[in-house]
Amino acid sequence: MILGSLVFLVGEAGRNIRRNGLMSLAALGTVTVALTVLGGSLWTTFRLSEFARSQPDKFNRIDVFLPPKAERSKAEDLMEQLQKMPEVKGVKLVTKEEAWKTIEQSQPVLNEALEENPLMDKIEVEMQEAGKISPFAEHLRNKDTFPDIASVTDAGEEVRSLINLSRVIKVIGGGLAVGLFIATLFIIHNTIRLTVFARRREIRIMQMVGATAWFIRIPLLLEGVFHGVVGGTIAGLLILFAGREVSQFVTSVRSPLLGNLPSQLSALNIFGLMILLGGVLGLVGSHLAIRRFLKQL
Amino acid sequence: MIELREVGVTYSNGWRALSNVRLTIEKGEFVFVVGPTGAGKSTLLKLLSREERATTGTVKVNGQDIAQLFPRDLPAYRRTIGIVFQDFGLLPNKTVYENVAFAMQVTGATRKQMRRQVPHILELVGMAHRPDAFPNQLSGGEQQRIAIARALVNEPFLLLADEPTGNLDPETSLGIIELLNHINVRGTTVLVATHDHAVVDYLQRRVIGFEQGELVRDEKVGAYRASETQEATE
Repeated sequence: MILGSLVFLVGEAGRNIRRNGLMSLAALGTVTVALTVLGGSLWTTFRLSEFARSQPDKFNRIDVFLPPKAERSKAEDLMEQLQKMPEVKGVKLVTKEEAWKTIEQSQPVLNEALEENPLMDKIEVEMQEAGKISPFAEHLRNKDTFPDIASVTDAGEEVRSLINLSRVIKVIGGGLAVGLFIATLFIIHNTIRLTVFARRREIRIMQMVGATAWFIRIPLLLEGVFHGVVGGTIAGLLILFAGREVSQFVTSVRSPLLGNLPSQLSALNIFGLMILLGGVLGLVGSHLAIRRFLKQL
Repeated sequence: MIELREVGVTYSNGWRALSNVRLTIEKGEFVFVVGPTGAGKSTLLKLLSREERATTGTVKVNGQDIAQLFPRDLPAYRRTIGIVFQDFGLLPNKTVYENVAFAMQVTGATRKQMRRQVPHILELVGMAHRPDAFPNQLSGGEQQRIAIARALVNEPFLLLADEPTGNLDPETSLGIIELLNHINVRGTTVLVATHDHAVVDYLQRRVIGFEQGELVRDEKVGAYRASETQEATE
């Protein structure tokens, strides 16, 4: 009997959606737009935050130059010394010959203009944390402690800016996501309330023939979930399409800073998230709308 | 079976819809509730369907004070009564069969039970030939027959009809009232709130009259107007 009732209630939700086609379509459209805006903002914030977070790693390096006439053994000793320091993740020696070869290949004119290699041996120091680059570079510049170092370069200011940008994006994006989440819930709740309101006479009749609150509520909740899930699916598709276009554009611009956007957030994640979000918002929105409406009757 | 003791209903805007009503209706009676608009007829029916609650006094149905029912108990109570509305109150997106079956569906009836009972009730109200029609494909009289069928399908002990002929022409109205009479003869208590002189005069059953929320008349056999009843008696 319970199974029979459940089948009837699911069928009832389907029939209601089909028979109130125009109202369902309007609800679906509104939910889709609201979820696309919410999902699009979440996606953009996530990608921007991910990008800003990943950038300091590209500058997570200090270049230590040795004097032009320094012996190779000095460089090896210094590498050993640096490797032992806790702030350091790894070290790599780029000899002046290797560096010159690279320049020769890319800039043959220079090769012709200069008679001998003016470059210095360089140790690339990869740091454990991007945030510690500046103080560590300052430490290496101390001639008393490191007399064999000619100069030290780091991307201190740029790294600090990027870290700050990452924080700002996180805070603004987080606030925006919460605000949009509430706005979307409100829109979905209001849309479903309109569909419920349009059927208030029907609901009264149901109550008068002895339908329980759950008997009235379940098909309406299922309708809300349906609108949310379908709206979420369409929104997911739209975001994926728009995201792909943006990525392709960024790649075509080939900005040396942007490079390829990281892609931890897979298509499946976005799709799943939007469907889940749509379903949850549809369920909560319709529950609130129905609860309020059933109380009024 | 139905007992009202000093019942008063005052709405939140201060309007006194009923005051100090004492009334008893026995099982199997047919009662017309008459009076001008705003006299309290519909409020009486709403009290019995528990859409409204008495502000003062008690309303007992089968010995139970229905004002004490919890909201969760209301569906079970309403399944024991049938309600017919002036505007028919059919679900527009359901067929004739579905509208009638819906009242059984909410009680958890099986499809087999519905397939047995619904055609039988449609036969009783003379609508067995149009089970697949939608309400907008039916005349007013036919829609009211379906509404009566829905009210009867769970075999209620009490049928409440609020202006059941209000939207119908005189000939169709008499047909509907004949049907209600037939249902009453089969044992169901029937309470009809109406403005329709013709149907009250035609059937000559118990008449209770309201004016400004007060019960001013109760005749075991009566016409729409008290004077006409008197003349008929003389």
